[in-house]
Amino acid sequence: MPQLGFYYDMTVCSSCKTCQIACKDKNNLDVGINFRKVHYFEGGKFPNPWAYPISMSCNHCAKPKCVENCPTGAMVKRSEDGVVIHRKERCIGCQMCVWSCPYGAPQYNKKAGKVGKCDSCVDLRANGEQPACVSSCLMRALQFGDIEEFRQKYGGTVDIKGLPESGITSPNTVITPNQYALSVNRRLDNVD
Amino acid sequence: MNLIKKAKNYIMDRTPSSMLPGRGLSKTSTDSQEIDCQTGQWVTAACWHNCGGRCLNKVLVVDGVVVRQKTDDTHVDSPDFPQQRGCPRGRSQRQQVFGVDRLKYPMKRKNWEPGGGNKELRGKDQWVRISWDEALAIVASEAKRIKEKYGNSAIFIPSGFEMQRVLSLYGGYAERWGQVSWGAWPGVYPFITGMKTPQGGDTEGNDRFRLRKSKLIILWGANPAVSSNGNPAYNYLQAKKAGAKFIVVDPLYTDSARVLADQWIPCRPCTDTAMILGMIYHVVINNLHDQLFLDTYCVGFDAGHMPAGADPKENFKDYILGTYDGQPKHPEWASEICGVDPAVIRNFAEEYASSKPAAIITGGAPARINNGEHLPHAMLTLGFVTGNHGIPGSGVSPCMHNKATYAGPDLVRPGFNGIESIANPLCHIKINNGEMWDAVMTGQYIAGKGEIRDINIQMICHGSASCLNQRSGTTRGIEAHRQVEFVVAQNYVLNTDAQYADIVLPVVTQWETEGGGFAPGSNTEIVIFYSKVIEPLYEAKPDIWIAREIGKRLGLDSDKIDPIPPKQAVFNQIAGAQVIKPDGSGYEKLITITEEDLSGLGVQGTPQTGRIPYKEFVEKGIYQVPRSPGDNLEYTTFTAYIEDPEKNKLQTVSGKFQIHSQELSNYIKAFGWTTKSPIPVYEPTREGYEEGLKDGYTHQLVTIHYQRRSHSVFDNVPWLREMFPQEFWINADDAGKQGIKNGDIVKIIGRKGAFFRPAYVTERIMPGVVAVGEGAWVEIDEKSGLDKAGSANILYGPVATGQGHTGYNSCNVKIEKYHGELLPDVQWPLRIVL
Amino acid sequence: MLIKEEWPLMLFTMLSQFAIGTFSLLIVVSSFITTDSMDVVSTVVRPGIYASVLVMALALVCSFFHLGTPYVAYMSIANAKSSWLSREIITGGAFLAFAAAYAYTCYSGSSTILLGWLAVIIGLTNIYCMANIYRATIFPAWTSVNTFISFYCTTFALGTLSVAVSIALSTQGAPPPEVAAAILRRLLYLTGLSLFIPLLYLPVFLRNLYSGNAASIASARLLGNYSLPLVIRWMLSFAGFGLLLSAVLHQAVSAQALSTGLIYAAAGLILAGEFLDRYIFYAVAVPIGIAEMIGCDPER
Repeated sequence: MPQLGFYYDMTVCSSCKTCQIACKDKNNLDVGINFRKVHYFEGGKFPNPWAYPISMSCNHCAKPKCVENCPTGAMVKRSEDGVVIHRKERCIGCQMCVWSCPYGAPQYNKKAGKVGKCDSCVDLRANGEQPACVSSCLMRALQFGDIEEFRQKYGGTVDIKGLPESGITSPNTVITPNQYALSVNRRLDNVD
Repeated sequence: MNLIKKAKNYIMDRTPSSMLPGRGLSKTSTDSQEIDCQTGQWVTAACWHNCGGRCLNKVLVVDGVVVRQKTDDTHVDSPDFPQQRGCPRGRSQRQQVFGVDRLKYPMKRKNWEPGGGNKELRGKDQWVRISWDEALAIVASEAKRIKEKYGNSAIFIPSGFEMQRVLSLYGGYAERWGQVSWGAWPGVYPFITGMKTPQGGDTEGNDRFRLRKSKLIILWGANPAVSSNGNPAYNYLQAKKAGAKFIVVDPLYTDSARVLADQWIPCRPCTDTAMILGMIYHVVINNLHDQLFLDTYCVGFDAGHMPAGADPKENFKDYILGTYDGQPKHPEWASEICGVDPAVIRNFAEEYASSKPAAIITGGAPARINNGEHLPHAMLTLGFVTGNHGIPGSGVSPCMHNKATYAGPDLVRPGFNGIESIANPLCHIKINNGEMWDAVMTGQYIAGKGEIRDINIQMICHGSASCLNQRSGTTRGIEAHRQVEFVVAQNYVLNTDAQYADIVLPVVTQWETEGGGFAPGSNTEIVIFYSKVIEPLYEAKPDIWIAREIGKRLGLDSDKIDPIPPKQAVFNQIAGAQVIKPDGSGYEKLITITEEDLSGLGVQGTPQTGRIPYKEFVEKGIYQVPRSPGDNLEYTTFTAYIEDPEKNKLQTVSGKFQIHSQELSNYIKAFGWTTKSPIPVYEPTREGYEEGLKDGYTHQLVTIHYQRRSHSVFDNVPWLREMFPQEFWINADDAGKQGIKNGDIVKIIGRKGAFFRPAYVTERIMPGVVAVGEGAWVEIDEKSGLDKAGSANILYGPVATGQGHTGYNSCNVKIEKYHGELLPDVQWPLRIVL
Repeated sequence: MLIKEEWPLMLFTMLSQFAIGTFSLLIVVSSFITTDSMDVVSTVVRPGIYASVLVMALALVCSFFHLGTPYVAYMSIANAKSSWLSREIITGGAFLAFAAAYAYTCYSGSSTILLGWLAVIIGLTNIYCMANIYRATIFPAWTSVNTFISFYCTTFALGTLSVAVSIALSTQGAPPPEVAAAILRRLLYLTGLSLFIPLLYLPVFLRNLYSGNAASIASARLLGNYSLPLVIRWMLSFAGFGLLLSAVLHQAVSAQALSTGLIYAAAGLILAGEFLDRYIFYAVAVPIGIAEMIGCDPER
């Protein structure tokens, strides 16, 4: 069964954050919890500044540490599409997944005493729709589908300056970067 | 069962805590998604905001409660036929409409009594709940009392369509006027081009398909990715994909620049005219200009082609060359003023002159400057000098807001609702935005050259346009609000206008409007029809109901005020809706209406044939004109004139483009504030670059549109506060000089007021320039007396210049580190009053 | 505040390490005691065994306070296949069960040392699982071998401490039996090692952190910010050890009673040091994450 995941074109993304809000609306999230977040990076020197956004939710990784480390099996990687979902009824709110994900995808909801995470809107997809973020994007920068097809079609990368090293969990996300986003000397570049 | 109660408890379990709480009833649902799909219904919800988008937003209503939103999915999305997707604000409407801070009941300020009571407490008083009867009685009696004591001119209604109708039948009221959004364009464009458009050329330029023909697109002070959400940035992307080169001129390296631009040229605010003149100089002395175009289509360029009766010495070319004033307007001269390197100016000029077709598309920003009439004039002239008008893909226009990438006539439009306007007997009493608060304080205003008139305003009625917050001079405006005897506001949240009022009347939003309606002012290719989503919340009422009730109490004929029931008015719009014929030759009816539809609605009308059946139209919520490249609906301005200037003369005095316009000069002079020469020249702007240098107000502030809000609307919505922190942009080197680090709290001091904000220290803005988002709701910090929200209009104004437009981007400020606490905006308490 | 957020885990790890350390050492001690010294067994070992069972139970109760939804906590053993947390809970529970069983056998008089040893093995495995939980996270400060060193050393430091306190308590006023004194002197070595090894490793730990990724370096810097608390931690530990040493050696030389005052003081200091160490452990954890860069500072 094909592994599904997100494709993101940062070169056309205007960082409007519609995806972040559409996700919050769909998942009924409070302030402070964002299953999808638009991150911003900038640098350079006037008059040649550079900047790029990264809109990221869950990368439905090939080696998901959250699934590995979850004590109750609430975090599960589905065999039919490789999407990592969180089964709320099994969650004890230990936050082990929060401690395991380099991308910050699982978010702890203090009020509910449980964690929540992007599940690629499995219910919408079961209805034939796209995930809320994809169908909301004003610049059409997001897609969701067969990750291998995305890799073939766009090339792209996940080793972007500012993102954790992809070897930790092997994320199934493809990003078309702009030139400043390519990871050169990652260690030094990330130092504040 | 009480639907509202049910709504509340349902909302509570499935909604974030910032939305209306339940009434303690227990949860009955199990899995939300399951229930939603089984019992819910998608309704088109109004997105009524003044952002330029007004896109398609739909809500899922389950048992009378909105559980979530979605956007346009009425057709497959494609670049040629795009969906009309909502932006972060539109997608937050659920939080907006159901916010815990919705105004629930009519309120009276605790320390008010007829005459004003303790007026100093306006803005910081406590609120007392009153009944509708009491509230309406107070408004009516105050209007009566003030009319009798001071006359109708004492009643000032800066905005509020409905109250204006009431007062027009009651002897009249003092009006407010003045351009805000399009800056100096409206007063200039018709004189130079002869075209009368709603906002000075906003509808002109190229539609999105013609833009794909442009070789060069210059976004001059235009940031569609942020300021025109919806499709414009996506449409520009298609032009880029089709091969257009993009240059962005802006003091900020905006996200539009990042996504679209091949080159970014940072130019100081208020000095764009200087750069344009520098460019023209370079073009002219290198003979890159289109002499044939100038000779054929323009007057005023050189001494041999002046308009009738004009002094030949007043020609533009000699001004550029410095023949008479001894100052050639070369790029070095321009560079001193605008801060752009002369080499960059030269390259830019050459690139523009050698690219045909090239389109210059400007936002309002460069022209939203004091005495700013030269900017539109110069910009249009830049196009004349290089012959870049009238060719598909070329042009110069302020094609922004809902028109960005959608130049041309509306291809589909609603009909007239049937409600005739009521003339204001005092329509000659018009006070400009740049004078109104001063007029309240000083008792005088200017009504044309030399004519100072007396006025004694004692009553202010606020409707939908948030004037206290959104017009310049808020500091003065607060003083004015504490001067008059009575202030009444109608709103659905306690925004600035309501906060400084004595009586606040809670109104419904468009989600609660009986019969639904058309979302006004979307782009040219769509009409959106929204339906009623929920019953009015708490005791909120429609604005027109309030007008009717006040009219009753004033002894007026309420049926004159509110002549057509909402369902009928909306039906009139539906019946009269028109769509352009596919061959572009005219319009035809849009909607098919049957006898069955009529009787079902219970309205008056006749059956008709159109393109889409009524029921389908209402259910879908949108009609989008099918378009494709090369269809008969493409648009470029002035193609007819360029093709045959004799047959298709322009409506200017000369019949041609006027680089020299005495009429424009006379027009501006008649306002009585500043003057403008007949040709475009560079003149320092009041509170522009030069003034700041003189007296230590070291930085120029630009007030940008900000995605947390649509102007001032949405400022209170928690999700949006979380994502957009209302930061204050400052250049990294400038910050370094003052020891300011990213995130430090800084105090920004204007000539009229000050505020403090977290600093966003960045390389994305030019030195000497700072920026903040316009529209934040004033929040005066009691301890310091300063605004802590970053409401731009606190800092400057009111100032009236030129045609009476507002110079939001002429503002000099000083910056200091602020030694005080400031919580992130998202942690501020919501304005929950009762 | 950190204490407010992380106190359940701080207490849980400290208390369970304390319990397992105490229990393990007491089993070791028991194994080298002949039936001649039954009084030592009853006065020193048994109370310690009972105490460690109680402390372990208390530790597990503390851990519940960390959970957002504790009433389904029973599901936490479901993923022993891959989750170190599952494994830790299983071994923790098993340790408590076996230790309690052994304690019961002690109480009822038919103590089976084998049962005790089983509990020890499970308990030490529990510490191993606990350390591995942290190794499996995305906090470079925790994924280091330093975590293992720290946890085991705390286990034995606190373990030896509680044996010493036990002996001091039970021999108040009178010189301790030679057996007990001998045990104490040997345990001193273990205490010393437990306190000294982490300090020895600290520079290696720091150097590794400084040469890692952004989160790693940030952790190192944060650790640097905690220099003063760190210095205090080591001063407490060594002061405590010094007191312990002098108490034990003095007793050995003078053949008098153990100075209970010194022992208690030593225990207090070493406990404080361990607690401070654990606090710092939680405080300097910086996760690998998305390093957003909004705005910049002029020094760049």
